[in-house]
Amino acid sequence: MKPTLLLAVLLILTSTLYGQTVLTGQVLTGKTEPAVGANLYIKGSFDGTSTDADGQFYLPCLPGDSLVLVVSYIGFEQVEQLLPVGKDSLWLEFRLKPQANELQQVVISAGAFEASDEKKAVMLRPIDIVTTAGSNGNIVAALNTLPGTQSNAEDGRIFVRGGDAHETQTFIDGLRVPNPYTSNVPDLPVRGRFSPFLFKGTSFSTGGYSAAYGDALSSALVLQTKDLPEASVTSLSLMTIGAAASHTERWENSAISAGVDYTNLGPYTSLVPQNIDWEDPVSAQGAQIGFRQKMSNGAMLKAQANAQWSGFSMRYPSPQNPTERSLLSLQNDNYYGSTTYHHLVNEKWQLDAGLAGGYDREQIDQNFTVDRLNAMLQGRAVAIRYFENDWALKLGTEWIQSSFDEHYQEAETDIQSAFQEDYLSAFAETEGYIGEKVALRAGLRAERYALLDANRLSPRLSLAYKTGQAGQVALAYGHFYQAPQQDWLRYTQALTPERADHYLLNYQYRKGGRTIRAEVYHKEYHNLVQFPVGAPWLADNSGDGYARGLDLFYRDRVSIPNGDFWVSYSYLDTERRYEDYPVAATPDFAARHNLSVVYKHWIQDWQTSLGMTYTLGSPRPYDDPNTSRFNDLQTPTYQDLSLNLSYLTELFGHFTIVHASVSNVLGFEQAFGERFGNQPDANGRFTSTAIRPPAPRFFFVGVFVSMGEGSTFSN
Amino acid sequence: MERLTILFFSLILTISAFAQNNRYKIAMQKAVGELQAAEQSRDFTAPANTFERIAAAAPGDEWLPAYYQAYCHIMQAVGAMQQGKPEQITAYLEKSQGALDIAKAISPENSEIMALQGYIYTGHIWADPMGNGPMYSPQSMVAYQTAIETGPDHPRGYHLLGMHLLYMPAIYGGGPERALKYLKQAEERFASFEPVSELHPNWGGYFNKQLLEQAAAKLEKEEN
Repeated sequence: MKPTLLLAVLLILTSTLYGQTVLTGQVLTGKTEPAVGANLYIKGSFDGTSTDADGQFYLPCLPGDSLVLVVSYIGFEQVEQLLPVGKDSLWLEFRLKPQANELQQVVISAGAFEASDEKKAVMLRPIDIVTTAGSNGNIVAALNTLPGTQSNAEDGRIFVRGGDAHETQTFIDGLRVPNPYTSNVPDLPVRGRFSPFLFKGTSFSTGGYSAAYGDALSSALVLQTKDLPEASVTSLSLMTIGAAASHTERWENSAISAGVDYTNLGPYTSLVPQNIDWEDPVSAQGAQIGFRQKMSNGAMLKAQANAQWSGFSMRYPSPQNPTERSLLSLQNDNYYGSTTYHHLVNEKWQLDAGLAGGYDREQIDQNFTVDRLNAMLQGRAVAIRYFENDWALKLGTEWIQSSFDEHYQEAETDIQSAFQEDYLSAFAETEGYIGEKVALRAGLRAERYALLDANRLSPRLSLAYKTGQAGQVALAYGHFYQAPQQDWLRYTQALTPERADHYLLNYQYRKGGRTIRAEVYHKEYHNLVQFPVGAPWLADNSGDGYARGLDLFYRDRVSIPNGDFWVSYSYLDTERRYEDYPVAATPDFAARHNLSVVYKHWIQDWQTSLGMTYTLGSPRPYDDPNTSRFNDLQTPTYQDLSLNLSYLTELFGHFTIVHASVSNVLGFEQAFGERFGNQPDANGRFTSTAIRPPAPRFFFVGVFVSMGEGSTFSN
Repeated sequence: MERLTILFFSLILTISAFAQNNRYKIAMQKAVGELQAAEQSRDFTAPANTFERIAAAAPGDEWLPAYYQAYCHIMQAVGAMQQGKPEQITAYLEKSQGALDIAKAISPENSEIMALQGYIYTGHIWADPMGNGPMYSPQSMVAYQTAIETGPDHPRGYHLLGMHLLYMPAIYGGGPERALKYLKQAEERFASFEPVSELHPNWGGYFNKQLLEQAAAKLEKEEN
C-alpha cells in the first residue's frame, strides 16, 4: 500500500516538471478581426495569458488527464475546449461567436410597440411617453403619435388601423381595465385615467397580439406597473388646472404609497377663451393607494386602488335639435382596484395571478336623464414553464364578469335595461427560438361568451426572421373576437361575438440609435353588429368590413446631438358596413393619411428639455342625413403643433420640474364636421351644429416638486 | 500502521491545501502588482484577465479575486467612456456586475463590495445619462450609503459618493459643495486607513485628492 502511494505522489511531482505542452494560436471575432486582450486559461488553474494586438497567444501549460482551455472575451460567448493529451505543442484557432445580445436578437415585432426600462430591444422608454409634447401626462395622447393610430382630437381615445375606439382593450398587469378613459359626452375629448408614471413597461399592439389577451378586435394596450420604488419620496404638484400630492414610503421589502389630486378647470376657463359655454367647468377629485410587498420566497405582491369623482355642466347641443343648446350636467364616480401576485418559483416555473374589481357610475342630465352603472369583477391565473432551450410555454385562464344597468328617462319614456356578461377564457401559447435567426410565437385561445351562448377558438401566430445584423422580417396572423358593445346588447342579446382576422408583414432595421420600421397589414371584419337606422333592437351580425394599409416609423436618437425624434406615417384604406350604415363606407373616425412628427431636444446648459409634436390627419368622412348619399361630406384636414418645455431646477433644496405646454401654437383652424339632430325638424330637415375643439388652444403650466432620496444628501 | 497511514494522508492533504493556498497568495500578489501597473498605464486588460482566472479557480471563500475582477472591468468602462463608446461601457459593466455578484455571494454585507456596486450603477449613467440617470442615480446613492453604514471607517464609500455627487448636476442634489463634504470625509479615512492585508483593497486615495482639487476649483468658479 505505502509504496504505491509514494509512487503516485512521485509521479504527480515529476509530471509537473516534465511534459509541458505549449499552446499557441489566434483568437478571432468573425472571420479576420483579431480579439485583442482575450483571456485564455486552463480551467481550474490560476495561470493563463491574454491575446496580443494580433489576437495571438502563447501559453505553456501543464498536462493532466483532461485539460480544458477556456477562452473568454467581453461581448462574445465563452469557449471551453478539451485539449488532447500527450502533445508537446498545439496550434489552436478560435472564432468567437457574439454573445446573444438583446439588441441583436430576433424579436417578435409585427404589430408590437414596446416601451420598457428593463428590456433593451425596445423602441421607446417610458420616459419618452411622458415627455411627448401635446400629451400632458396622458398615455393615450402619446400613443397616438405612433403609426397605426389616428389623432381624432374631438374624441381622445385610441383608434387603431380602421378599428373603432372600443376595439382596443387596456390591460394593467394582465387584468382588463373596464373604463380606461375619463367620462365625457360626445365631441369632448377624453383622457386616459392612469398616470404614465405608474408604469415601468408599456406594450402597445396595433395587431396580431398574443393569445394571452382577448376580447379586442383591433388592439391590446398592455401596461405593467412598477415594482418596489427606489426610495421614499414625497411629491407635490401645482398646476394651472389643479394640484396633487402623494407620498411613497419604502421599507426594505415593501412600500406603501398614497396620493390625492384635485382638478378644477374653472379659473383656467375664465382666463382663456373657450369654444364651450361652461356652467360649471370640469372638476375632479382623485385618490390612489398602492402597496408592494416582496415576499420571503421572492414573489411580488401588488395591490392598488383608485377612486375618481368628476363632473361638469355646460350648455350642450340638444340631441333633437343641435342648434339649440340646453344645460347638460355629467357626474362620474369611478373605482378600480386590483391585486396581483407574481412568483418566479424556480428556473422552470413562473406563476402570475390577479384579481380586480371595478365600479363606474355615470349620471347625465339634460332634457333627459341617464343613470348608468357598470360593475366588473375578474380573476386571472397564468403559469409559465421555461425550458432549457430558450422555449417557454404559457398556460392561462381568466374570468371576467361585467354587469350593466341603465335607467333612461325622457318625458314619458322610462327605460330600464340591465344584463350581465360572463366571459371565460383559457389560452396556451409557446414562444421561443428556432436557431439564431427565427423567433416564433404560436398560441390558441378559447373563449366563452356566456350571455351570447357562444364559444370561440382563435389561433394566433407570430414569426420573425433575422435577415442580417440589424434587420429582420416578421409576420403575424390571428383571429380576434369581441363581444358586441353594451350599447347594442341592451337592446338585444340575440347576437354573436364580432370577429376580425389580422394579417401583418413587418420589416424592421435598427442600428446604433436609429430604427426604421415598415408594416403592411390587412384586417377582415366579420359578424359586425348591423341594424336599420334608428332600430338597434333589430340588430344582427350581418355587418362586415376591411382595413388595410401601410405604417411607417423612423426613430433617430443619434443624428442630432442632444436631439431625439420620431416620424410616423400611416396610410389607411378601410370600409365597413356596421351599426346603422346603409352601405359599406369609410367610417367617420378613419382618415386616409396620418402623420406625426415628435421632436425632443435637451439643452444641457439650461437644464431644459424642449419638445414639439406636429400632427396631421387627412379629411374624414361624415354623413349629412339630409342627403341621400351616405358619409358624403368631409371634415377639413386636421393639423396641430404642440410645444412643451421642462425646466429642471431646485426649490428649497428639492428636485423640481417646471413644465409648460401649449397646443395648436400656429393657430390652425381645427374642425371636426357637424353634429346632426336625431330627428328632423318641422320642415323635415335635420339641423346641425359644427363640432369644434373645446378651446382653440390649451395652455398648461405646472410645478412638480419631489422630496426624497436626492435631498437626503443635501444636509 | 493504520494510524500512520491516516497521519500520512492528513499530512498530504494539509500540505496540498497549504500549497494551494500559497499558490493562491502568490497569484494574487502578482495580480495586484499587475493592477498597480495598470493604474499607471490605464490598460486594465491584463489584471482583468488575471483576476478572472483566479476568481474561476480560487478557493470558494475568497471574495477578493471576483471583487478585483469587477473593479478592473469598471476601469475598462471608464476607458470606454473616455473614448466615447457607450455600448462598450454597458458590456464592461455587465461583466463587472457578474463578477461582483459572485463576490457578494461569498461575502454578503461587505462594505467594499457595496461601494463597488454603487460604482457600477454610476457607470450605467455614463452610458446614457438621460435614459439611465433616473433609475441608476438613486440606486447608486443607496449603495454608497449602505457601504458607508456597513463600514463607517472605510474610505471608498465616501470617495465614490463624493465622485458621484461632483459630476451630478446640483438640481438633482449633486454639485461640488455636497461632493466636498464626502470627499473630505474620504480624505480623513484614506489618511488613517490600514488594509486588512496587502491583498485587500487600498485604492482611491490618489484620485480622491484630484477630486478634492476639482471640487474646490468648481466651487470657487461657482461662487465668483
